[in-house]
Amino acid sequence: MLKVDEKDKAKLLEPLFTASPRFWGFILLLLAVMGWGAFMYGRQVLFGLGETGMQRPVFWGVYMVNFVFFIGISHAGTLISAILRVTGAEWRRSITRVAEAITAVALIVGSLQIVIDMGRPERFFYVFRYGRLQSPLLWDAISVTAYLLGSLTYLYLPLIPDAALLRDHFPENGRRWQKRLYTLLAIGWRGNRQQWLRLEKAIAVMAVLIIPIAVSVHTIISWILATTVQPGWHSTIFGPYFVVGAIFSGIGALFVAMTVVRRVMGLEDYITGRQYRNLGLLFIVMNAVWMYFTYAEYLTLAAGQEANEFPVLASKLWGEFAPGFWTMVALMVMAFWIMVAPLLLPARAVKKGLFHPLASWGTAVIALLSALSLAGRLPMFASLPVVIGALALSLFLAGMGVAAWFKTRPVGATALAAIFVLVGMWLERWNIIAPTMTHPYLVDYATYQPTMTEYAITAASFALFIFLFTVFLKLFPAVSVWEVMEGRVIEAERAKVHIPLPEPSRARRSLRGAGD
Amino acid sequence: MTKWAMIVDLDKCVACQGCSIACRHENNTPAISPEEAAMGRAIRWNDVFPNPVNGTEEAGAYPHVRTRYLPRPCMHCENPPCVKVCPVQGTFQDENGTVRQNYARCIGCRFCTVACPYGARYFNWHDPYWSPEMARCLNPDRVVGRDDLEGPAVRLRGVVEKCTFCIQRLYAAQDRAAAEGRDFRPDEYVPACVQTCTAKARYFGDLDDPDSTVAMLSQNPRAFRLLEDVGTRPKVIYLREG
Amino acid sequence: MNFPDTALFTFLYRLINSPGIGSVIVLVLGGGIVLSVGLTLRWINRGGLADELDVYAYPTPTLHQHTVREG
Repeated sequence: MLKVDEKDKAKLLEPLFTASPRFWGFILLLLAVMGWGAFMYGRQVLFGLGETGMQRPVFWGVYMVNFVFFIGISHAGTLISAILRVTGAEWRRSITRVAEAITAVALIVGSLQIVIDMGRPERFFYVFRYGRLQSPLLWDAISVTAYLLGSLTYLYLPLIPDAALLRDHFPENGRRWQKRLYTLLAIGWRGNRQQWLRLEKAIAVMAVLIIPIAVSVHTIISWILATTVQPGWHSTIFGPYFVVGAIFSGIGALFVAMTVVRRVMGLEDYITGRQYRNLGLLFIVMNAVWMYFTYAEYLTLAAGQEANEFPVLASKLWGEFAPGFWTMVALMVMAFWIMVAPLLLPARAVKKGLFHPLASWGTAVIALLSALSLAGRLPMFASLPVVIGALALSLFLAGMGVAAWFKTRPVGATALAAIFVLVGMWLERWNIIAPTMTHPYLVDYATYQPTMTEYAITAASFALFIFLFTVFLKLFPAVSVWEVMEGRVIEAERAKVHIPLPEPSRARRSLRGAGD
Repeated sequence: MTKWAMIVDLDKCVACQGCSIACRHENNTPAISPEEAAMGRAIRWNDVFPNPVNGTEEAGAYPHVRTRYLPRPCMHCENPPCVKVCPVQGTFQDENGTVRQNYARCIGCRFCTVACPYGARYFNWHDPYWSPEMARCLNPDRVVGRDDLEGPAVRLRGVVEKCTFCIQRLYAAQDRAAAEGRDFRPDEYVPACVQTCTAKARYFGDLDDPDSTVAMLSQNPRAFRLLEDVGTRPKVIYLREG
Repeated sequence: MNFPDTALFTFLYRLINSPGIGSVIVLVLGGGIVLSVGLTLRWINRGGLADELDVYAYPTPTLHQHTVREG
């Protein structure tokens, strides 16, 4: 019988044995969306892929975008929790379970997109029978197989002691299949020294192995596009660009999942400001790196103006894909500002009128109007320099106004930025795949309008993602119980060590003297 | 080794689209509704379209227009991007360098259609349909082997198809020569588009034979290939308008 | 072909072009992972047979020489 804190038991273990009507209602809602998607998919199988909006030359559409997006999300977990484990970041403890669950679930949903996109899904196993090593799709089959199996293992290994806890603390009146499940998954876990030694070794090896696999997965997905000679795809930086985008969107997914789990399950004591702060810094860095790659990718296209590539870029900058492209850029810039501004803003500034949240609304409206005039959607209300000046000034003021608001609500602000990034990254994948497909070499430029089939299946894919994630968290603790207990002991030991504060330098001392 | 190649003399081509029609009947490409065709789902293994495809300054504005038409079969590249990306060898290059498609193997991932810079590959978005009268006139030829289905055999929804240089005609010619107990000569076989060409603008033959018409015409100063800079090395060679 | 006509390159080309070889790699890799994970799990399970009476809900006290705090 393994011991567990009463508080941990009440917060993390006991909710798994009951289910509220709200939970079942939510599950029903998800099942309804999935049912709709399944019906539309059935139609697509019966009548052919013509039920989608895809055509020639747009042979790949929303399904491919979803595929890249979901596999990108999957980098949340394993990569982040593995890197944090390897580097010994203590604060990771309470969020690793959520991160690893996202990984496994996103991989399942992502791989499913390939099957959905196939003209003859019943021939899927041909990939495993006639697989040709030259095809990037087979590289993908290799790396995604390795990643899926690896991340399921990586999710499962730290779950063993928790499954044993659940087995030992299972209530008398609980459902019997659930008890049997925990007993099975605990694989005879006693928790003696030898077992802990072996488990820790296995987790440490997995954490190292999973990192190169994760990097390879999204690199290879980018190579599916980059190894063709199509305009706009045949790029050398796609590998690292996609990996960066994957980690970036992965952190976004982790933030959203963390916030929801924290709010719904009341885990404020486990997932605290510390996790938000530290992961937030990583989020800012990934945003900046992503921006840098995006700029580098498009600058070379814009400067070269190669005859076949430039129309692709032009369609993004001011053509039919411009709304999506600039929405993506705006979302990323806003996410960056939401994360960075509270760090820059001194606490006292919050009281100043310039930073009043209400002021930001007015200025935001002015900014929107000037932006629309510049884009030619509205008549210019003044001369060009005035409009540009108004845009810059109102944007600055609006940014300042919301900054104070975000500073007082770190969790909500981070979740908002994370949602912006998730939407932005979906659009990024769309902006990479669709414009090249509609601007081929020797076929008429086309337009691509997804149909209800694609919308339904996309909605069902997201519902499936949420469904699997919810079911997982209903069966297993959202926070790795043993890791958190261990972390508490380590924290307590560290607290005993006294580290003297650094002596303020003479310059700092004189500065403070002058100020006060 | 023979290396089948085609020459298209653009000076002679009158853009009548006879090649497209001949190809359609030889290879059983399905008819399609006007709405679907407007969406870009028509299947024309041998397409004829204005070049440059997308209006640029080069084409000019009325009345100073110069429209060039370009008949486009599959290029049967020597370095085919489609073959390289297929995960299951649903498309492959045979010993004569012809790029062929196995409908029994294709999984419908459409990686080859995406990879082909010429847009020469087509996907069956729906099951094919012919009116009863037309269905009676389908070409009965097919190239069948073990887990292998090619040629004009009717394709189901969800697989990719393409020009095969009328591979069934090559086999028929070889079979005839064998039945008559003599060696097969390269000039016994031409694809349907070459046979039908009104202006006799197309030539077909063995590029490896230096004395063949195609080999000699490929040395013509007017000779060029489409998208030479993407490195596919097509075996369909055009002769520029003079 | 786009490579030197030597035995090495021909061999490498056959390696990447023959259908089935990729499948073998996927299956060997997938099977290898499943097998090694299974063996690891058995190894962890067998760890419970060690002649140790003390059990721990988390590893710190036994593995990392911290004091045990009874919660």
